Amino acid sequence: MDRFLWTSGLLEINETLVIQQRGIKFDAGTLLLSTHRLIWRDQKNHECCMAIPLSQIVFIEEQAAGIGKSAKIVVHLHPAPPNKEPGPFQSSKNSYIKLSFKEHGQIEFYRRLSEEMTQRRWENMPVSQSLQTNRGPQPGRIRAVGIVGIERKLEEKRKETDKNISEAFEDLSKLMVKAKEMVELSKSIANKIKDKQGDITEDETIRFKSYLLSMGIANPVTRETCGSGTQYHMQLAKQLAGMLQVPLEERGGIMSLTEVYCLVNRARGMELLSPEDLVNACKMLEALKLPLRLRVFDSGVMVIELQSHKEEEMVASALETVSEKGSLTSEEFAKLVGMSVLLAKERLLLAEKMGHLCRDDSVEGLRFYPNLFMTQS
Amino acid sequence: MHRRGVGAGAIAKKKLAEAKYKERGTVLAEDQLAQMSKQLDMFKSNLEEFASKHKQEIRKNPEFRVQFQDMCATIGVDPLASGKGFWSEMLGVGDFYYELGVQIIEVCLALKHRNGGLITLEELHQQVLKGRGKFAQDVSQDDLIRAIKKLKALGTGFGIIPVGGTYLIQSVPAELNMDHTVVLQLAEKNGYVTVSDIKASLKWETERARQVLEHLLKEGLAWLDLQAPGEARYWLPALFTDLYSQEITAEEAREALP
Repeated sequence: MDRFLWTSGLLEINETLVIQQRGIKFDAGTLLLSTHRLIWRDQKNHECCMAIPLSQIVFIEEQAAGIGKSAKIVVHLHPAPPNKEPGPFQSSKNSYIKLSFKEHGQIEFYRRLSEEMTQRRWENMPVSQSLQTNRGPQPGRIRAVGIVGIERKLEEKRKETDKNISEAFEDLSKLMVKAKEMVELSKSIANKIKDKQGDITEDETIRFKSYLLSMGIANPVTRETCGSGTQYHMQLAKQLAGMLQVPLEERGGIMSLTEVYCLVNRARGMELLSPEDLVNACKMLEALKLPLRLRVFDSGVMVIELQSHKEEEMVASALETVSEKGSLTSEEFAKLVGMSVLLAKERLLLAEKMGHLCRDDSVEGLRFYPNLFMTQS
Repeated sequence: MHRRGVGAGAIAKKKLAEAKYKERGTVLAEDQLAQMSKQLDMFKSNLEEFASKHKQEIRKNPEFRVQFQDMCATIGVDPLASGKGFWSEMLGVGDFYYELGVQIIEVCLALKHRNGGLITLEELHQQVLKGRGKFAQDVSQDDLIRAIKKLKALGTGFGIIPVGGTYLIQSVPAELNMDHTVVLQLAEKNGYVTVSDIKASLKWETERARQVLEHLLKEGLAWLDLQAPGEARYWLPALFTDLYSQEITAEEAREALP
């Protein structure tokens, strides 16, 4: 098939590596979906390109990935109309093609393709050239017998899958009802704790918080999900102190919480921490007298620093660096000192807050100068 | 910290309090706590049963994940709040989203020098899929959004900005107010925007338009093109790939542009 012109724009791009067209593989290509056609272009040889009008598609279904197999979409087609323009094959005994998604993207592509199939926009928008279409009195309902049988089997399979899903949903709903009861109960308990009805010990309060943690219920009193101060977070804080000592020293004594999140979770591999777990644990660092602490800058940026790290002292050396160079932006400073741009900016801002630096805010960016107003009167 | 009193006197006092409460029909908090503990154990085993039957469904089916999350939200439960929660431990949802969070952070960091910390959900999706490799579980855009929402807790400026039917993901703490986001939405169509575009579509004064564009320039989110025909164009690198990842030929490009 040669390229055709189309009138409406391309809808979406996705990466596919293989199309199995009628039993023979075409390798490594890009699959494009337009409002009118499904187009496949070879990644290496851009001249090699095939297209199927969407009107030729009877039905599509997903095939989940398996071991050694990538996820696929199976596209069932009408028989070729007699006036079809030449393509890679003159005839074939199969009436379907399989699109194999070696680089994922199958979920989105299936969704978009289904949308296009439902909307059938190609019927409303005529194409300029003589694009062969299957326009008859009813768009493409003339079928050969073979396809009907296939369709019926697919329909059954789909119903079966639907049944599995609906069973899962049913079970899920039942589960949710029970979970909701727990939520109500916890609200009632929290109110009582607040109003001091009954005799709740501190131990019991801690136990209560851990119940909330297990269920994922926000602490109705503090509004923090899972509340800080559970045993789990205390243990976690101690673990973190051990784990982060060396990385912190390697990075000049300070790291942003995002860096910590990535570092810790990559190291764990399994049973990862949620962002909230990390924050709640870090909030306890200082209280537990551990050698690290959590610090929140004015901008809202959160960092972990070694207790021994004095950001204010770093400001003095930052001032020296800026003075040497005359003036610096956050990016330049970050490069010189070897720290992340985010933390570099925070340090310069702190220096400014302490009166050592002045800013020059222009379209070219934010630049810092030594504060000569202070030093030179 | 005070221990609950012991001794005969305390017992008597307690009995009195219990009686008083019972009169008023209220239940003591510690009794409810005991009840909750029992219910929690029951719930845990129910969840285990559910997991044994349907854990795969959650793993493989993004639609089901969405339903699951929505149901949890309706009743006031956050299954992703903690890795120590039942949901996370037994259904494995936690690890899926937390790992996704790490991958999102890494992609944003890698591309920040190019787009200033602003990226379309589409591009983020593609890059994350690439990074995950061929044998990893597929992720949907909804999965990404949920993971990003959780990342906000880390305090470093993750934001989700709706533009023209999709979303822009912000990964640096640049301050973007309503004016800025509206201009971003305007730029989505062509990947760039001019002062005249803003004045025509949004009916703003020149000064207001210029201030917004300068702020975007300063934050590294926009690039200034003084060589464009007519007036200066402000390009949004974050929106580039939307137009140019399609590898269209020169002929198509001519036809596609208005």
